[in-house]
Amino acid sequence: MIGALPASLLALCVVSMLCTALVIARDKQEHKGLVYWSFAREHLRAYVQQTESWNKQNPDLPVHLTYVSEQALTDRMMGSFFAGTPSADMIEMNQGPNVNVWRGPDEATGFRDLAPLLRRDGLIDKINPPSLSPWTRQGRIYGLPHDVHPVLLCYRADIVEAAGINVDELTTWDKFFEALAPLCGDLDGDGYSDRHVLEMPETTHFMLVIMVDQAGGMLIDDYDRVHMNSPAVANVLAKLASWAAREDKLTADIPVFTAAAAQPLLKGQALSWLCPDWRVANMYDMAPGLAGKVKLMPLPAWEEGGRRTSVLGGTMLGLPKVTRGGAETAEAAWQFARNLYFSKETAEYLFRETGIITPIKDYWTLPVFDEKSDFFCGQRFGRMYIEQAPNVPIRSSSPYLHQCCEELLSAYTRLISYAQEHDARDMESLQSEAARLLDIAAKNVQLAVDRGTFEEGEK
Amino acid sequence: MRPFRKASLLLGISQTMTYVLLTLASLVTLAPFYWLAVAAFKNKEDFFAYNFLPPGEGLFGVAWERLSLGNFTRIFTELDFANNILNSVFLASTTAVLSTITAAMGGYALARFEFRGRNLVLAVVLTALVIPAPLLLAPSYQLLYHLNLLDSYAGLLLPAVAPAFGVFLFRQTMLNSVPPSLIESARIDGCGELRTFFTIVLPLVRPMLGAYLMISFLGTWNNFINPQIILQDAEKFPLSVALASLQTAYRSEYGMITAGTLVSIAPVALLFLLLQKEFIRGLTSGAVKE
Amino acid sequence: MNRHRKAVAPWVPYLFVAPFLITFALFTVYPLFQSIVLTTQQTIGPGFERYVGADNFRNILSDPKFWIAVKNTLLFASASVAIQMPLALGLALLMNQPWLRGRSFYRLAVFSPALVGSVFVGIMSAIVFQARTGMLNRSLHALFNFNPDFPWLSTYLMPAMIIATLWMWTGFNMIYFLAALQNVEKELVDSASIDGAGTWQRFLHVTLPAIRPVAGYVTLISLIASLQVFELPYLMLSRLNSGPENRGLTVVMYLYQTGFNVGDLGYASAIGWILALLLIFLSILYRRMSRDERT
Repeated sequence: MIGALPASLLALCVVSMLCTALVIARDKQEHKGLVYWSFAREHLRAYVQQTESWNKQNPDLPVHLTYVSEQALTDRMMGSFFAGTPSADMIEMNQGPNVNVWRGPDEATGFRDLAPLLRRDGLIDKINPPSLSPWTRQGRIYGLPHDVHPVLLCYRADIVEAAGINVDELTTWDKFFEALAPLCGDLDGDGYSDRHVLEMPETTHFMLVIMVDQAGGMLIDDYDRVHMNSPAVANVLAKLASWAAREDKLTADIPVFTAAAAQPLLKGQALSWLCPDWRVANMYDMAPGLAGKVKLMPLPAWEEGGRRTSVLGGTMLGLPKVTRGGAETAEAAWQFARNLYFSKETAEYLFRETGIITPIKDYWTLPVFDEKSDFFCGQRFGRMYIEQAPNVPIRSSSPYLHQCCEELLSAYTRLISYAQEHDARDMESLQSEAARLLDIAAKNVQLAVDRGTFEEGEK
Repeated sequence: MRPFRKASLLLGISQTMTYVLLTLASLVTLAPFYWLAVAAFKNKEDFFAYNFLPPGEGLFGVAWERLSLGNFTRIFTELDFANNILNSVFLASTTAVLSTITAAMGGYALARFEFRGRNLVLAVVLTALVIPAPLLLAPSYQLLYHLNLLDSYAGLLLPAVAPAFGVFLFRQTMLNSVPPSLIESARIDGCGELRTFFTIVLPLVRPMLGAYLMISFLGTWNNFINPQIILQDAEKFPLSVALASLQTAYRSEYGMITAGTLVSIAPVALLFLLLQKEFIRGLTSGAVKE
Repeated sequence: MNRHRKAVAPWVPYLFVAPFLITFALFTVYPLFQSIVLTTQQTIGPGFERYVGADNFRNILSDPKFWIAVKNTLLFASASVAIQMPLALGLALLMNQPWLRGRSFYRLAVFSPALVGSVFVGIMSAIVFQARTGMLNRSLHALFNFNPDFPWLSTYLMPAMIIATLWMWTGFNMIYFLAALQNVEKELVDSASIDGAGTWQRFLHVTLPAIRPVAGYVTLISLIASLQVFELPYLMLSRLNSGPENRGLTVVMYLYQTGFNVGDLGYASAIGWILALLLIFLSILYRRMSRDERT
C-alpha cells in the first residue's frame, strides 16, 4: 500500500516524523532558578562574576543570564504580558521600542512597581533623579535604571583642528555650524557633497529627539499631555532644517548606529555626531579606525549659556509580575537585581567595557572615570560625561512617546522639503511652517491619546 | 536556421536583442543574490567598505584571504541557528504533509461523493477563499490564548491544517483526473475506502500532490507573521523569526544576517531545483486550464 | 478484505471531510465570527477587554494614520501590479521564442527571487537600499554617477518597496504568462500565421485575447496579495517604525502594530474588516468582469 504513494509525500512524511522526534526530545529541557533576559551581550558580560557568586550562595535559585536580541525581547515580553504567561524573572529592556509596556492602568502593566521596595531599602536617593524618569509612570517606578546616557558631541579632531578651529569657542550650534561649514562640500568632484558638519539622519528620529530634548522641548509628559507643538520644538526644527535644506547640505543623512554608519564616519562624511555614552563602545566595535582621530566636547547649546548635554536611550531592569516561581522567587529576584544594579563592580566594569556611566551618584567619584583614553586623544572622557550627568533632561514614559517621535520626524522631513521647494531659508518663515507642522503632529497624537479609553478616568 | 531569406538580418537583430534583454533581466535579478553570497563571507570592516568582493593581490584581483566562514560559525555558535533550522524543517514538513492530506481528502470527498451538506461545505470553501488572512490574526490569537495554545507548536500547526485553498485545488484536480469508474471498480473488488484513497486516488493526482506539498512547504518556511505572534520561547523560533530578530534599532549584525539569509534560502532553492517541473505545473494548473 | 457492495456507507464522505471541516470550523469560521465581536471591543492583549460599540469604526474613519496606510497600500498595489504585468508579459514573450537557447536558465534566473520569501527579501532590502553604502546606490553611482545619497529608505520608500516587489514577483507572474502563451501557441497562432498576419497583428488579435483570462487571474491574485503587503515594508524598515511621514505604513502593518504592538485586538479587527470588505469587493468585481467577457 505504501509503495503506491508518491515519493515526495513519503519523503516529507519521514522528515516530518524525524523532526517531530527531535523536537519532542529537545523540549524537555527546563530551566531551574531565575531567568534573566537582556538585549545587550556587553551588559551580560559585566554580570558574569556576580552571577557566579550568587549561584554559589543560592544553589537552589541559580540565575541564568540569557541574551535575547532586542526585537525578539520586545515581541516575547509583550506577547507574554498580553497573554499573562511567564517570560523571565528579570528583564533588562531598552526604552525605545518598548513604550507600549506602559499602556493602560497598572493592572495591565506587566512589570511590578518597584517604588515601595526602593523606599523600603532606602535606595531611591542614591539614583540620579532624571535617570528614573523614563521608567516612572504616574508615580510608579517600573524599573531600576541602568544608566544615565548623557550626550556629548564627538568630532573629527584630525580634520577640524587641522583647519585651525578651536572648538572651545563654539558654544552654540549657530557658531558651530558657521565655523565648520567651510570644510564641507564636494571633495571628489563627482557633483555630490561628501562632507557635512553634523550627522543628522532623516530616516530615524533618535538624533532629532536628542536635539529637541536638549532644547528642553518635552514632547509628551507621563500623564499623556502633548506638548510637542511648543515654540522650543519649532525653533529646533527650523534651525536644523535651515542647515539641512542648504545647497551645500550641512547635515549628513546617515543610517545611524548601523555598521553602515561606520563607513561614512571613517571617511569623514560627517565631521561630528551626537554621542551618548553607550555609543563609545559602538565606535570601538564598528569603527576602530577612528582611534586617535576623534575627540568629545559638550554639545553646543541652543542659546548662549544653555544646556550642554542631552540624553538618548536607556535601559532598565524590570521584574515581571507573572513568573514561573510565583511569589516565592519574587523576593529573590529583587535581591539579585538590587545587588547587581547597585554594585560598584558593575559600575566599573560597564564603564571600562562600554563607556556607560552609572546612575548611582556615589560611584561617580571612582578613579576609573578619570582615566585617559587613547581613543579620544588622551581625553578623560568618563569625567566629561559625569560632569554632564546631573543636567540630563527629564524624559517621558508615555506610551504615545514613540508616536510623538515619529510625528516629529515627519514634521522635520516635511519642513526640509518645504524649505527646498519654496526656497525659504530664513528663520521666520521656517519657524512658522514648523509651528504649523507641529500643530498637525500634536493633533494626530492627541487623537491616539483620546482613543485610548483604558487611560480615561485615570487623571 | 536556413529557411530565412530577406528577413534574416531583421531576425538576427531581434534575436540578439532578445538575448541581450533576457541576459540583462537575469543579471539584474541575480545581482542581489551575488551580493548576498559575497557579503556573507565578508568581515565587519569589509562589509560596507566594498560593494562586492574586497580588492587585493589574489586571483582575479580579489583579496580572498579577507573572506572567511566567520559569520557562519557565529550564527551556529553565538546564535542557536541549528535549532532554528530544525524548527523550520519541522514546521514546514509537518504542515505540508498534514495540510496536503487533509486537503486531498476534503477535495476527494467534495469531488467524488454525494452527501448531505456537500453544497454547504462547497459554498463555505469558496467563501473562505476571499477571506484575507490578516483579518483572522487578532481573533485567532485570542482563541489560542483561551485554548492555552499560545507559545506552542500546536497553535501554529492546527490552524494551518485547514487550507480552504488546498481543498479547492484538490477538488478541481480530482474532478479532472480521477474517473469515478475506477473508484467503482475498486469498491467492487472489495477495496476499503481509505485504501482506495491512498492507493488509487492519490497516485492519480501525483503532480498536484507534489505541487501542493511544495507550495505548502514554501509557504510555511517563509511564513513570518504567525510564528512571530504565536511563539514566545526562542527555542521554538523558525528561521524567519530568528533572522528577523537580528535586525535591531541600535546595532544590526549584518554579517550574521546575510549568512543567516543564505542558510535560510539555500534548502528551499535546492528543493525547488529538484521539483521545478511539478511545482510550476501545479502553480499554473489552476489558472491556465480554466 | 471484506465484501463491500456498490453502495457506500453513509459516514464515509464525512470521514474524508472531517479533518478539514473540524479544524476549519474551529480555526477559521469561529475566529471569523469572533472578529465581528472584537470590532466592538477595545483590548489590551487578549486578557483585558471593554465594550466600545461602534467607536472603533468611528475612530478609524478619523484616524489620519489609517488613511495614510490606505493611501500607501492602494498606491503600492496599483503601481506594482501596473508595472509588473507588462514586464512579466514582455519577459514571457521573449522567453516564448521557439529558437531560444538556455530558456530554462533564463526562466530559473528570473523566477528565483519568488522562492526567497518576503521576510528574507525585506531583510535584504533594508541593507541593499541604504544610502551611500547600499548595493543599489553604489552600483548606480559607479555605473551612471547616480546620487550616492539617494534616500531610498526615507523620501523614496514607496519606489523602493515597489522595486523590491518587482524583483520578487515579476518572474513569478511571468511563469503564468509563459504557460498561457504555450497553450495559445499550439492551438491558434499557427493557423493565424498561415493566414499571413504580421507579428504585431497576430499578437494583438490572437495572442492577447487568448491569454486574457490568465492575465485577469494573475492581476487579481497580485492585487489581492499586494493589498495585504506586510513583511516587506515591516522588515525593510527594521521594524521600528513606519518610515518618515509613515511612508512605509501599509494597512496590514497598521493592523499588526495596533493589534500586537499596542495590544488592541479590537481596533485591529476593525481594520481587518475594512480590508476584507475591499478585497471581497475586488473579487466580486473580477467575477462580474470575467463573466461578462464569456457571454
